[in-house]
This record gives sequence, C-alpha cells and structure tokens, in this order.
Amino acid sequence: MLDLFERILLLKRSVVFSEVDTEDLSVVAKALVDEAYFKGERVFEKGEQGDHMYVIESGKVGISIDDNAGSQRFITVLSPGECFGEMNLLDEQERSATAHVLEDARLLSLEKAQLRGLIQRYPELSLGMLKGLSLRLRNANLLTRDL
Amino acid sequence: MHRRLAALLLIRPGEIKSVVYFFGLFLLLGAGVALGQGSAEALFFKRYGIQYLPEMYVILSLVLCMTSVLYAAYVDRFPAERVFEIVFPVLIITIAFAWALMEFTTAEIAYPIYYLIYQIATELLVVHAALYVSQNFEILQAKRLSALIMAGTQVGIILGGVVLPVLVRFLGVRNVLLAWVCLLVIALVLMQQWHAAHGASTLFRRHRDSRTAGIGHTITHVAQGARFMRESPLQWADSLGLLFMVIAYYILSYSVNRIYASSFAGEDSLAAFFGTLTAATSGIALFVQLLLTNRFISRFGVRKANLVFPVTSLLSFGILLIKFTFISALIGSFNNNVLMPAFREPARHVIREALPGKLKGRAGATSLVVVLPVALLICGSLLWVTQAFHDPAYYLIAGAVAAVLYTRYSLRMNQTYASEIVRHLRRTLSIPGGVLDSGLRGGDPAMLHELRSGVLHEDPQVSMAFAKAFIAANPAAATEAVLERSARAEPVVQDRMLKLLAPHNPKGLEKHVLERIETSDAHLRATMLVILFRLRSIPASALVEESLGSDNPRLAAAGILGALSYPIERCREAAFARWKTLLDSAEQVENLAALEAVDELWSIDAPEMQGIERSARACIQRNLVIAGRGQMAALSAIARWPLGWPSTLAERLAGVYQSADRVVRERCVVALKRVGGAGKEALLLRACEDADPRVRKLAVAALNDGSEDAKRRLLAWLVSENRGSPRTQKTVLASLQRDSLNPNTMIEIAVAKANQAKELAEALNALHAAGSASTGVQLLTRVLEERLQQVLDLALMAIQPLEDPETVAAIRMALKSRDPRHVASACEGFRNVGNKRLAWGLADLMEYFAGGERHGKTAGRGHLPVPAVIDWAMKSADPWLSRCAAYANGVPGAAGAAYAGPV
Repeated sequence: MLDLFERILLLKRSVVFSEVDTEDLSVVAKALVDEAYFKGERVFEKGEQGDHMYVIESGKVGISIDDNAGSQRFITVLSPGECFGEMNLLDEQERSATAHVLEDARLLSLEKAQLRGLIQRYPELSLGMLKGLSLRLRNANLLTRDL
Repeated sequence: MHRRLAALLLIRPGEIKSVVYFFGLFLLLGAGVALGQGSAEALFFKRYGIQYLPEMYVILSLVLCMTSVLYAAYVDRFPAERVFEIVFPVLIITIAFAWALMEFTTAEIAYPIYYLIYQIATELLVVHAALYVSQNFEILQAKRLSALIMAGTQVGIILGGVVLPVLVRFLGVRNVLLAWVCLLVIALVLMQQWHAAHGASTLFRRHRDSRTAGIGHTITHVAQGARFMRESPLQWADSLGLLFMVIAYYILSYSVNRIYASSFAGEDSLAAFFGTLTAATSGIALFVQLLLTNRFISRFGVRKANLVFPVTSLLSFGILLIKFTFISALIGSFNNNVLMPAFREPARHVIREALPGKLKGRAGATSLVVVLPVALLICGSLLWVTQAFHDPAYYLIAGAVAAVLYTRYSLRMNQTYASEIVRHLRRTLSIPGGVLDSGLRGGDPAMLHELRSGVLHEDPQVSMAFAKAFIAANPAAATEAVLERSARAEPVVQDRMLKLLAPHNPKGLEKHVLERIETSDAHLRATMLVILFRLRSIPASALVEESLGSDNPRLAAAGILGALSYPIERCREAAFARWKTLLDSAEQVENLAALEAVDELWSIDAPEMQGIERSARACIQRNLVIAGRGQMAALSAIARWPLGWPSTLAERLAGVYQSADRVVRERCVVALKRVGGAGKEALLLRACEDADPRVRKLAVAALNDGSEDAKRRLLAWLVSENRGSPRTQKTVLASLQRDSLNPNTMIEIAVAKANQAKELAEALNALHAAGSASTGVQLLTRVLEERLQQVLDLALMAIQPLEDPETVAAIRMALKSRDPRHVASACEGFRNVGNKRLAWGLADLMEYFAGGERHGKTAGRGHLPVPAVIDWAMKSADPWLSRCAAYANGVPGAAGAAYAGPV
C-alpha cells in the first residue's frame, strides 16, 4: 500500500491530476480509498450506474466495450498511474465499458461527490480531465480509422 | 564526450538529431550558394561587364518581386519543407538550362540570366531557411540554436569556397553550375528522407483560408502584411531597417566588386579568388557564430547584437571613402560576409519571433514582395546615376547614408521589441484582475448587454451566476434586469436575488418588494420583511406587529428586527421576550432565526440585553458543535456580537476549523477577532496555510490590523524569515500592497524572492544532476519545481505596481501557463521593465524554469550532493517543502505526520 507521498507522486504522473500542485494533491490523496482486486475480477461492468473513478496503483486493467461483459477484447490496457471510470461521473450515463483486472491490482477509488467537490476546489482537475478525455477521443478516432 | 560537446554548443538532450539534420541541410545549401556566387559573379563581371551591375539590380528587383509573389502564394499553405520541394526542382532545372545556354550557344544573355538565378536562389533560400527553422524550433530553442544551425550554411560556404578554385581548374567556371545542381539534388533527397521519418514541421500551423490561397490571396496577404506594418511598430522598424540594409549591403558589394574585377585579369582567376575569399570570410564567420554570437547575445542581449552589423557597415563605408583600395575592399567583404551572417541574421531572427505567428508569414511576404525589390530598385538607380561620375565617393556616400538610416531603424526595432512581445502576450492570454470589472464599471454597453441577457436567462443557475457577477461589478446597472428576472422566478431564486441586491439599496427595490410581499410564501416574506425593515420602509412599519406575533420563527425574528430598529416602543417588551424565547428554544430552527436576527441588534443599549446576552451565549455554544446551518449561524454571531468570550473559545474554534467546508473555516477565522490568547495566534497562522485562498486572505487580514507593527511583522515573513508557503506569502504580499507599500520595500521583497528563486533553481540543478532518485527525492524535485514557479510569481507580483501592471500581469500569466512559447516570450518581454538588474536576474531564472540552461552555468549548488539539498529544504520555513524534504530524508513517520495545512 502506498504512503501519502507515494500516492501524491502517482497522482502527479496521471493525466487527470498532473496540473494540480503537490500541496493540493495531498488533500486529493487523502480522499482516495485503497481497493484490491484479483486477476479475473471486474471492477465494473458496462451498463452499470457507476459512482467511482479509479487510479491504478499497481497491476493492469483492460477496458472492453463489448456488450458481453465476459469478452476479453480490450480497446486499451491501462497501467499504474492511469485513470478510468471518470467519464460517467461527469455525464451521469451508464458505464460505457467493462473494466477487467488483468493482473492483481491495487486501485485508488474516488467517489463522485468527492470528485465534484475537488473539481470546485481545484479547477486544474477539470483541465486534466479534459486532457484525459481528449486523449481518449484521439485513441477512439485512431481505432475507428483502423477499422 | 558527446554530452560535453552538446553542453558547449548549448544543445539539450533530444535536440541532437534535429540539429545535425538542419546543420547538414544548410551545409549543402551553403556549399551550393558558394559555388553559385563565385561562378555567377566571375562570369558576369568578366564576360558581360561590371558596369551593368546597377541595371542588373533594377532587373533583379522586378524578377524578385514576381518570384516573391509566387513564393508568398505558397508559403502559408504548406509546411516549409513542402515549399522546398517546389523550390529545389525549379532551381535545378533553371541552373541546368543556364549551363546549356553557355555550353551550346554563344548567347551572352546566358551570363546575366545565371547571375539573376543565383541572386534569386540566394534570397529565396535564406528567407525560407529562416522560416523553416522557425517552424521547427520555438523561441528559446531558436535563441540557443539558431546561430549553430545557421553555422551549417557557413561550413557549406567554406567547403564550397575551398572546392571552387579546384573545380574551376579542372572543370572550368561554367561546369561549376553542374556541381551546384548535384548539391541541390542531394539536399532535396535528404530533406524528404528526414520528413518521411519525423513528420511535418512541428510548429507549422495551416491557416484556415490556405486551401483557397493563390496569387490573388498573396496580394491580399501582402496588403495585410503592409497594414500589419502600420499596426506593429516592430514590423515597421524591421521593414525599413531591411530596406536600408539591402541598399547599404548592395552598394558595399558593388564597391568591393569593382575593386576585385579590376584587380584580376581573367574569369578563372577571379572565380578562384572569390572561392578563396568566400572560404576565408566564411571560416571566420563560422568561428564567430559558434563561439561568440550566442554568447554575445546571452551576455549583452539580442538588441546589442542587432546593432553590430549596422554600425560596422557604416564603418566600412568610412574606410572605403578614405582609401578605395584592395585592402579596404577586403574589409568591406569581411563586413558583408562575416558580420552579417554572424550577427545580423541570428539577432533579427530572434527579434522577429516576437511577432504573432499568424502574421509572421504575411509580414515576411511583404518584405520579400515589396521591401526587397524596392530596395534593389533604389540601389540600382542610385548606382546607375552615381557611377556616371566615375568617382566612387558618390556611391559610397549614398551607401553611408543608407547605413546611417539602417542603424536608426535597428535602434527603433530594439525599442519596440519587448513591447511587441508583451502586446502579443496580452492578446494571447486572458489577463485577470478586473478587465471585466473595469469594462462594467465603465459602462461598456456590449458587456452590459451580455450580462443583462445572462441574468434574464431561463435557467435559474445561469441567471444567478450572471446576477452575482453583474451586481458585484455594477449594482445600479444590474437592478432592473435582476428585479425583472426575480419577478418570474421561483421563490427560492427570488429570495437569493433579493438578498444579493439588498445591501446596495438600489432604486426601485423597496417598491418591488412591497408589491409582492402579500403574495409570497412565509420564507420569502420573512426575507422581504427584513429587507424592508432594514430600509426603515414607512409602509412596511405596519407589518411589524403582525410579524412579531407569528408562529413562524423567521417571521418572528423579522418582527423583532422591525420592532427594535424603527423602533416601535409598544412592541419593545414583546420583541425582547420573543427574542429570548427563540434563543432559549431547544428547536434549532428557532435558534437560527434568533441568531440571524442579531445583525444590527447587538449594539442596542438596553437593560433587557443582559438577559438576551446570557441566552445568546448559551445558544451559540450549543449550536457551535453541530455541523450545519446552526454552526454557521453561531460562528457569524460570535463574529458580530462582542459577548466577551474567554480565550478557551479559540480551542473550540480550532476544532470547528477542521471542517472540510470552506465557509465554516472562513467564519472561524472571522470569529477569532472576538477571542484573545495564544490559541488565536496558532489558529490564525494555521489558517494562513489554508488550501483555499479566501480563507488565507481572511487570516492574513486578521493578522494585518493596519498597525506599523503588524506590517513590519508581515514584511519580515517575506524578506528575512521567508516564512510560510509561497501562496501564503502571496496573500501576505497582497495584503501589504493594499496598504500602499513604498517602492523600495517592493524592490526589497522582489530581490528577496529572486534570491530565494535562485536557491531553488540551484537545489533543482543538484537534484537533476543526480539522475535516478528515490520516490522521496522525485517528490522533492516536483515540489521544488512548483516552488520555483510560485516564488518567481511572487517576485513579479512584488514589482507589478512599480512597472506597467498589465505588462507584468501578462508576464505572470505566461509563466503560469507553463507553455514554453509563452514563457519564452515573457522572458524576453520582462527584460525590458524599468529595473533592469532585477529584471535580467529574474528573466534568467524564468528561462531556467522554462527549460533553458542559462542559470545552470552559474549554479553553485549544482555541485552539492543530494543530502545537502535535502538538509537545506528540511530547514526551510515553508511547511510543505520541509515536510517533503523530511520524507525524502527518510524521517520515520513523515508521510503520516500531522500536517497543519492545507486543510
């Protein structure tokens, strides 16, 4: 389990939190809840009404957009420092993908209401989230082009 | 070895490949130019006659104008390398054509044609090479590397100059043309290979209208460039400087060529001499560029470098006027061939980076299409007239006059350079600090219209957001729109809007409220009654008794307010009794109504107040511990009501201050003014480090009571003690600046911050130099990087009132943006502020922050070991930095240790 400073460094390296100063990240880091998942588990499934976003502390998570939750066709595989699950906290829609744990993973989760409070307190977070969404859109465009 | 060489040449990791490529490409182009120059001039002077050179300048001006129109038609459409893909083949074909004319016909016209090709090729390649560099290197990179990259051209010219006599000897002057063709083919292939592997130029931005571009659009662009010249003092000075530079350059060139042409009998010997001269002067130029130019620019600034060539051109004319000899000609050649590429081109390139990117291409097109041809036309005409007198003094004096004017406009360029950078930054970045407010207060009709539309928006959240901004900036102008929207809003929105307007007592508010009070629900009615009673509304006084007798605690509290504030004697006793009942009640809603009513009533001097105060104290203590509205009301009541609290209240407030709610923490800080003792001081100091700027501001305001002692104490925080995090210091500085600090104090603060920034930069140097690091050291590095930017911002903030505040605001925003292009522009702009010594020191640190290396050269702490840096950081009075350093040092429990701020 990471200590506070290791969490801050992890967040600083992630796209969503990179613009926030370390001093303020100490507040964000304290709000994160440590969760452990084993290989083969699903963090959430497509169609669920999610209320958490996740930062990967260790392990790997594959993202699948197949309607079949058991499908192992991943559009991307995420590594430590990367975030997922933040989209539906913003658009309030159902989960658009299933998150499969590919290697035993420790995740840091953040609840929807807390994220909103943090965004109000640290507007830089919105920039980071936009950056993350923009990167995701680019990747989606590339995938569409390759089809 | 490689790293040392790269460091010597100011090349940063990741830039080596690019530098090698550009150097190599420009080397090929330079070698071609050297072969072209020697052969074209020797053939023209000996086969056609140097006396026709002025006419050639006139023809050249027309041909250059047409070629430039074509060039400008394409320059904004494609990345620079695509334009080269057109220019290179055109040159290859035309040079081969000229060679065929010379080889297979006796037409003398081949020589002036080739001379024209050479001149146009040189102009196009030089102009486009600069554009090519600017599309691949941002301003700080360009400043470091442009001299080195351009030195590639010089190496090429040296090689071309050395090879030329050999080629002339074995192939003859005419066949040198084919060698030039070969070099152009190699350059074309090299460039295509590079871009196939690395993609298009990274800083190229295609303009939206580029697909429809053509000759017509080029003329429009040239006209836009000309208009931009009038708008931009820098572009205007640059264009006029270029005009007189070209005149001076070509007159000097003509003068020295007359001497050379008369000194050598045949075209072979003349071409060989030109080759040797080119190799020698370019060798010196290369030496100067590599070892002197960038250091000259770093040490004396780009503006002094910009003056070197104009001044030496003037001196060259002076020498030729005194003695029109071979030696004087060599000095003139040294000026044109060494000092021009070594100083004029790098300096002008950096200065032109200050122009907005969108207009740089247009301004460049105007220079090429209009300025250069006009300059050549004037030059050719002047020489044609003056050479008829058969006395060099006539054209030398004309050249000297042109050099004087060139110097004058170079000085003008220098004066406008920094202001152009700041102008560009202001346009690009949104500058905070009252731009909106000043527009509103000044009654800007467009802005007022926008806000009115926003207030009238159907969405209540949007409407409220606009109403807040509008009322805060211009309540008188906002009233009509806010009341109009309020009339058709839900009660809760009406309530909030009326509360926003009430403190300003705008005209029409009383009438609006009186018209609606009877139809409102109880909550809104209570708000309306409070507004009316505070206004001492005569018609509303009739409602006091009814309110006082209401079962609704908010209405009853409004009645208490009315009865005691008008005052209405017959209601007085009942009002005090009801007030006490509400305070003593076990129902929080009644307590809330009673506490909120105290706003204007605590100062009433009446015997009944003793009983009220006892009840109030108990009520406040009861509610203080229950998070929510009761706690808020209790905190506000403490702040407003001087009930003589014991110092132990500070400890209870410290507990409440733990709240994650910013408003609760704000009210805690405000409530502290009614408390004394050490607990108060400790909590205020803690609040100074709060994560929220509004809480910090209140805490610092509580410490700065306006007394000289308080000011001295806070000043010591900034200067001698360097106490607190930079953001706390920023709040302290803002508080001190509101009391009008004297200029010397502001400079004292800025110097202290500059020194602190230097220490941070040196510490960062040491950590960067150490390479791989533990998690703690990695975190410490991040914190130091953040602190460097924050401390630089503090230094800028300190001197902001002393300089043009908007200029400094633009520079601060640029630094905050972390965009290397904006930071680079900010550094350049900042060097022009009044306090030069401070500005240069800070600009160096800003460059270091942006990724430059200048500060690194002087960094003493760069040689310190990492533990020494950690030790230094641990002793810092900045709590967060100190804590991170302790963690990096492996202090047990540092990660979990209680940390006072941020909350």
